[in-house]
Amino acid sequence: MAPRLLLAVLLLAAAASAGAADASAALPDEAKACLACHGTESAPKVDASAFAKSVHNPLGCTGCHAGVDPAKHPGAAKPERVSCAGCHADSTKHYQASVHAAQREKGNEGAPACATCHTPHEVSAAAVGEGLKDACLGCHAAAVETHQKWLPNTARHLEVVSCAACHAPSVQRKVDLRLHDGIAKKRVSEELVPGFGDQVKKLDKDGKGLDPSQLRTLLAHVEQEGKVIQPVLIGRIEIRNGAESHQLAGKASAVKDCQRCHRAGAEPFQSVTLSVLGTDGKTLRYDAQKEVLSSPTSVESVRGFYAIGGTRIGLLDVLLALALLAGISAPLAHLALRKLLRKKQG
Amino acid sequence: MQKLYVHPLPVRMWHWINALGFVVLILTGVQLRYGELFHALPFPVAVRIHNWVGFALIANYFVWLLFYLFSDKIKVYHPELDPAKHFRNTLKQLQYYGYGIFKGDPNPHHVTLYHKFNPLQSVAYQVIMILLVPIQFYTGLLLWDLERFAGSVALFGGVRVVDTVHVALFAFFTAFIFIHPYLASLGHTPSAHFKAMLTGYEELE
Repeated sequence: MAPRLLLAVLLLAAAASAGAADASAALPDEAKACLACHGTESAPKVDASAFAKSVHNPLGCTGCHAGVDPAKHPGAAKPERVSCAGCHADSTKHYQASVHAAQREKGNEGAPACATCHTPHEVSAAAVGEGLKDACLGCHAAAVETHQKWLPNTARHLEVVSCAACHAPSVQRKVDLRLHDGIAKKRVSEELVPGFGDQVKKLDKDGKGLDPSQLRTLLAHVEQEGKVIQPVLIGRIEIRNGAESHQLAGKASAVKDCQRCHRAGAEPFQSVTLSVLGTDGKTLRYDAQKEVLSSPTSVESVRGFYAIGGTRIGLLDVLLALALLAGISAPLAHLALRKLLRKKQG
Repeated sequence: MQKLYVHPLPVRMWHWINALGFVVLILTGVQLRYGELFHALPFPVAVRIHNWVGFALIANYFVWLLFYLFSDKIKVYHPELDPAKHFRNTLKQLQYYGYGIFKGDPNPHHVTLYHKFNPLQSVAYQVIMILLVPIQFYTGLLLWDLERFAGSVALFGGVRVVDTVHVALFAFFTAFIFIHPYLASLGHTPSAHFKAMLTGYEELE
């Protein structure tokens, strides 16, 4: 009876907690009960509203804290450390091969484990990504300054290249073209583009991914719908398989060769996705053909992404070759004619 | 032979700095765009040289602009306001380069103190100096720091549009860098105009 009574009291306390009331509306009942204490300073605090938005929200508390029995909690024993590997085996495998795991094995407690970067109760879909860059910079505070010493256009690089794209050098990369609202300057969520996925499927009939012309049609459709006044695709270089992005190497092994991206046929531009944010915060991705990065048809639709040398438009190469040819051959032909005709005239 | 001082010192300095700068910008530009074909310098070094030379040429452009704005020499850029006359003279000049020169005809244009450009040069240089060069500098400036100029880049139509304009003009200037010296060699001697751009004095035939 006593545990039930305790639970009832906790539930009542949870309902009475004004701060948690709005945020916890989307939480499972069990989590609301836990947050009656853990939503305050009286126990290790969890931000209820952040947890409500987290992708882990549907799991509740015991989904991860499996060793905790709410009826007996808090007990004398400290709860076991949460293991992420049960669900995220692939990511954990790659993490184990990372410089971070190696440092922890050496006894460096400051080296990050899962929760250090993926703030445990605020985990958003990994690919949303901006928070993760901040997590890297949270420890590697001098990273921006260090990059500025050698990396031209540093701010732009840090904006459009994920940290792992260079610091996990052995894995494959891709470009994710994220749909942004150019006026609101933020990523577009599926709510603003209802039927986006259906429209993609309708255009991409053969399932090979959207080609440049189909992508242009798609963006025109989004614009016509009127909820996103200025749809812009802003590209970001990421790791193709998100789990592999955990395989971070020591900085000596990081990519410093600019031509890994800045040359024709560079590996990151061989795979392209198009993404919007789902209503649950997860990223919804759709395939696009690599030609969308280099087609003249994409000048407008992919106007927010360009890597010098890597995503160059072939038509401009032809223009440059013609200019070079004209620049050399026109004077030579004129000179030859002058010499020839002057000779004839004696 | 009579000589005429048509290229004042600031113009000559601007011209040769510009010429050298454009060659460097074209070579580094080729490496940045075609790194897999032409790789003379480490990529970040090529970027930095391209950027700094670009800034130097922007400053140099103002030497040209301010000199002409504050000197009566600006008359050399005054357009011919009689379109019929301008058209007639342009045709004559085209006819000379395309036909007369092969027969040994004299150049229809005669240099005077305030008419150093023939009708073709007059139009071409006005378009180049007032339109194309500033657009090239502006697009280059935007590409130099895309974050700092994010608003202007968006206004221009995005980074891809900015780059397309920059590269299209790069193609034009690449052709120009070959054709311009050739046309300069068509004086009364092949080196006459080159000497004039060094000494300032054009020899009159």
